[in-house]
Amino acid sequence: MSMSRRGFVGALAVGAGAFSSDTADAGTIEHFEGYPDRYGLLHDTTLCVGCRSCEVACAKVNALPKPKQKAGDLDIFESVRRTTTTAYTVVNRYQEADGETPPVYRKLQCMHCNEPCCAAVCLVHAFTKTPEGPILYDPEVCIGCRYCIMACPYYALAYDYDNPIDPQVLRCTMCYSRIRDGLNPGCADACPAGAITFGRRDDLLKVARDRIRKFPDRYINHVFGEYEFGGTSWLMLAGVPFRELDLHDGVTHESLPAIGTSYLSVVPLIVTIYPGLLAAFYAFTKRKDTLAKRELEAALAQAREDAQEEMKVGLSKAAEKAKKDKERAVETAVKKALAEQGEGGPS
Amino acid sequence: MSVATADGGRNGIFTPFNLVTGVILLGGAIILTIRFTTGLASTTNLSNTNPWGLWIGFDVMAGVALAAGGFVISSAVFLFGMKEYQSVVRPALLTGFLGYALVVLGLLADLGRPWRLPFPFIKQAGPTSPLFEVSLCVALYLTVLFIETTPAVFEWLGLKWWRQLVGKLTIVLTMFGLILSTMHQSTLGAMYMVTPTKLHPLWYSSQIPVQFFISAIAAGISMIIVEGWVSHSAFHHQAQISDEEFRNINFGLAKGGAVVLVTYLAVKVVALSLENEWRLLATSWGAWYLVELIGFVVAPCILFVVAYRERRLGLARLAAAMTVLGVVLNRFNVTFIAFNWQVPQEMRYAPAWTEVWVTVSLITFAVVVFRWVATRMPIMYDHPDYPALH
Amino acid sequence: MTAKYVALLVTGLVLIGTVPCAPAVAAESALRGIPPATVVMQFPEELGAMQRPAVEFDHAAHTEALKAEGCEKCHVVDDKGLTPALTSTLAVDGRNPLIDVYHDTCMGCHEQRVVDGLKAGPVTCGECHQKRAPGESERVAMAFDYSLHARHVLTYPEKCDTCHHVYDEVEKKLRYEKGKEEACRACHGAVDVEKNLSLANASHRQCIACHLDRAGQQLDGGPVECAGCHDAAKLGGIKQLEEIPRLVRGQPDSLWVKAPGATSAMVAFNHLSHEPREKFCTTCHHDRLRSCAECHGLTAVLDGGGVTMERAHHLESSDYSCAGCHRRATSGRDCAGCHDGVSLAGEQGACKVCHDGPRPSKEEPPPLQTGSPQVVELAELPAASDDFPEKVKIDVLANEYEASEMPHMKILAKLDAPIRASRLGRQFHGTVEAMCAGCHHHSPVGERPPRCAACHGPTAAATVDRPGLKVAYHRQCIGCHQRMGIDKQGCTDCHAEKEVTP
Repeated sequence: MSMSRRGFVGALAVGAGAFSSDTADAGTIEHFEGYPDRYGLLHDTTLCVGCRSCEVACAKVNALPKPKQKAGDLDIFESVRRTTTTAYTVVNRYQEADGETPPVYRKLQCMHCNEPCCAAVCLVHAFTKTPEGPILYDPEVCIGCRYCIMACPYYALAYDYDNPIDPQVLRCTMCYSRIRDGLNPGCADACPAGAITFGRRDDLLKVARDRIRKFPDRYINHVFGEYEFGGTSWLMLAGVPFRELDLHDGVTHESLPAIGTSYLSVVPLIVTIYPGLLAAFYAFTKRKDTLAKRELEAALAQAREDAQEEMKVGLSKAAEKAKKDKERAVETAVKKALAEQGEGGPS
Repeated sequence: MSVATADGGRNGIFTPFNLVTGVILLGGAIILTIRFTTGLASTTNLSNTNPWGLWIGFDVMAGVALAAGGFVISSAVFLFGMKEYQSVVRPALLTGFLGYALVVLGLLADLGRPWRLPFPFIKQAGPTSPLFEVSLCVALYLTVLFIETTPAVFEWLGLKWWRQLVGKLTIVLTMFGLILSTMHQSTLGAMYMVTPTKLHPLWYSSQIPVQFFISAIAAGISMIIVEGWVSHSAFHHQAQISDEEFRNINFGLAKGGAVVLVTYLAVKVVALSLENEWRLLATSWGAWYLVELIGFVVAPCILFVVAYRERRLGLARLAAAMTVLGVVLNRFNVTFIAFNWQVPQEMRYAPAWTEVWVTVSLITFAVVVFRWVATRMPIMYDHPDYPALH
Repeated sequence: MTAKYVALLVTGLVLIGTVPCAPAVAAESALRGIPPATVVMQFPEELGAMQRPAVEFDHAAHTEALKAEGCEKCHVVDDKGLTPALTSTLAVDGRNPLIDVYHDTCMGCHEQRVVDGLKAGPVTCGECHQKRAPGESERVAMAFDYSLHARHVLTYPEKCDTCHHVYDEVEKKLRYEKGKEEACRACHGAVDVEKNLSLANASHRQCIACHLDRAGQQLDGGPVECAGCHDAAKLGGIKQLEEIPRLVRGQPDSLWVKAPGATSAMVAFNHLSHEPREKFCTTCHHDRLRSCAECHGLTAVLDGGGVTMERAHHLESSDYSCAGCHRRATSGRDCAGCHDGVSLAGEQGACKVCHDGPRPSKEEPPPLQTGSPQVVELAELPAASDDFPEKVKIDVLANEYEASEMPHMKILAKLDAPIRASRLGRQFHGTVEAMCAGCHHHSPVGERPPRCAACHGPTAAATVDRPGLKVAYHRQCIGCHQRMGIDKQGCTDCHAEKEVTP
């Protein structure tokens, strides 16, 4: 989904949340079951014998270097491995053989989740969930932020840290091109024990439940990947609790994108409410300032008026006093004159 | 105003400060050259299990939080009318701008293909991603901060018309900055909501975005105190405010810091209750969580209150330093200490010395630029030709 | 002054760091084992909660210490002998009186022994009511199997009334009734119900009294100490008879399994041959020693626990049903290769193996002879031919490996031997070619089977959960080897690696 500059500016105005209209976001009541007829793979860990033919086949199909350790080399199981840039799938041993109990193995790879969090968190939309099931990666837009690797709950993604020019995010592709050509994924064809079955996900769920029903003592009564974090394309059956296979058992059925990006619905709210709110704060501040100024001016004016009044009163008092003084002076002078005249008389 | 002692001093350009920073920066440049020519593996301890390390944990996560002082103080002064803090606005904005520049530089070092940094905006957008929102907001906010620091530049260059133009934009830019900061500070935390199985439950919470935002405010306030502590002695000759006024500002900030830290504590406690995680406090991770919470949130909060009431600047500065360390510790915990907590020890991450050197050199670079700007431009003082901003 | 704050801070941080860690990881140790002879003195629920930890009473120590005085020192002895009841608590009821009695008796005795200069037990509260980690009793249940029963029978031949009795409701007393001997647990449950003692009390009263009696008469008797019956190691040391004589209680040798109202063919059941297979009658007769049909009829009734006759005999997961025991037999190493592989249940003709008798009618069916039904004898394995090849070359998928040369006849011979040796195997297989279905499944036996590739395509048919050809071969062969404990499970054990031409 590429955008022109105009589209970008338009998007800025509307807010990021508006673009998630294709996917089921928090707030709608609709539930997207997933693309119908999509493919999946069933990994029956009770059948896995740890021969690692799947690793060899995967390397061959993806033109990667062949795994150095051969099938009989059990030393490789001493440590728990993870996928790398040259090994898109690995098989680990999670329980050693114990008398009659056989060892327990599991194959790790990208689970091709129904609602992949790698796709949701990629800021350049480099991942696409295809209707057939596999998740595709576009190295042409990837900027190498590695948010997808950080987010993946299955630790399935690897990065080319050694490559300064063209580092890519590398992982199992569910042999997308082979599936499109009507072939099976390489690992499914290679497994001699039938621990990997490829088919339509709905069919595989029925098969898995059927196996549990037929052999209740052999399996834990749960198909891992049916609903965990929204469900995955890789379904697992096991005879031991899934926690012991390093799988997060008992997690919510809500998808990680729903959990992890639901917060973004707040963004348009902030963008729309804050301006008004902050303008209001600013207006209150200004109003307080204006009122304070007005009060000050009023107080000054009042003070000036009071001063004027005082002056007037003082002046009039002074005038009164002056008048009285003058009258007294005149009286005194008249009296004095009269007294002088009386003394002088007609003589 | 006088420029740095380059001209008069006997050492000329080889002052102790220049020598130390020069060595650090040179080392950083060499390491980055190796990184860009041979790939990330040669200069980092990053792995497929730990794709994000110190450069994201400090340069991006902590860097953004510590640069929050810009929006906090500019909002306080221009939107909420707290004019008594006018004199710390410019240093805070400069710190903010340089902080965000550091973030971008750190990103350029860390991205697999840094030349594709603008791709989310020009090639293909992934708007469902919290990181898309963060990058958009950070890009816009960096622009806002840049514009908000130009008044000092224009004053220095004597470009009156330009200076008046950007002066008129102050309110709008401040509002825009607060909006953007609210969004990206919290979304940086929201980035971790997609990893409930990988982040330890004591740090993972549906409240992470709120926690990140509030702690960023606390970090911003504290960084202003810390930056003021350093600048006030380095640029004392430039200061126009009295010591009394300076102290009042610090105590006001301390009061604010205490309130924010108490709020942050409340949010954290509510998050613990919401997910009913009390029994986790009795584990060793719980002890570490309590170290972060009590040692670096409650303790500085109390110290801020005491500092404010007793008017003791030293305590306020100590509390501010602790808050800064606490926020950095929190970001480290979320990014690589309490992240991947269930992964076996041999696959856990610890930063390589080259990563630490690069981070330190980026900080040094910011300090050097800050010093260069502050010695020449009216950051610590008001230019006499221009009335005080608003 | 700032230094003071810093010091306080550091101290605070150190405290915070250490205090939560201290109670943090409570070490999860294994439960403490309580020896078999230790009685945990716990109040019954109706007397309320205990205020102090329960006393763990070491019975063995007390019997040792009071050897001279004997059991009568504490226990009630009546005309029949020793009883589990205590003289001190007899007729004492209620919480506080009981507490007082225990305190007076125990502490009183201990204090007296101190006065007498003997080794004595605790007298203070905390020494008896010790706070301990949660514990688990090591006491195992007494297993009174055929061998032990036979040894008792040999001691008291024809004297079943020595131990067995029934309770006469009318006369309200115990009496013996021949032919109605049952296991003790048929009437004695977990707790005392008025005069009906619990299994523990009844066994102790019955067994230990007799053993004590014989010990008193210098005769060879059974254990009188707790550990003698309830210690796992000691139980394992109890002498087993080589030849266990048959426990005769009037049971038939062979009988018809039938039910009134049933319409399908009756099943001839050889009770005699089944008896030595288990150690207790109650393994099958899990409630009482009577016919299954008495409780499990055609319809579910309360007496039968809601289990119909069909379920009682056919449920493969049951511990008591015919099919359950037979199913468990096929999980043995010799059989699991085929039987625990692709499901064989429901194959045609399986019902006929048992339901081979006449259909129920108004007349009684003819009585069965001892030893019926006769177990079939299998024909000999056929010689190698085109239909039964000596070796089979599987080359249809040869790619990274060479073709596999399967030693067909060798495998057949190895599978055939234990079938032939087992009565169960012969009876249920019926014919020598039945075992072909173990590998050549979902196809008619005895004839030339279809090629594996006819049903197993190159890749798995996910909709019907049918594996592809490569997986089918591997799962069939390697699966069988795994179940039968055969070491040929590696790649090159069956097919050589192809030389890669450079």
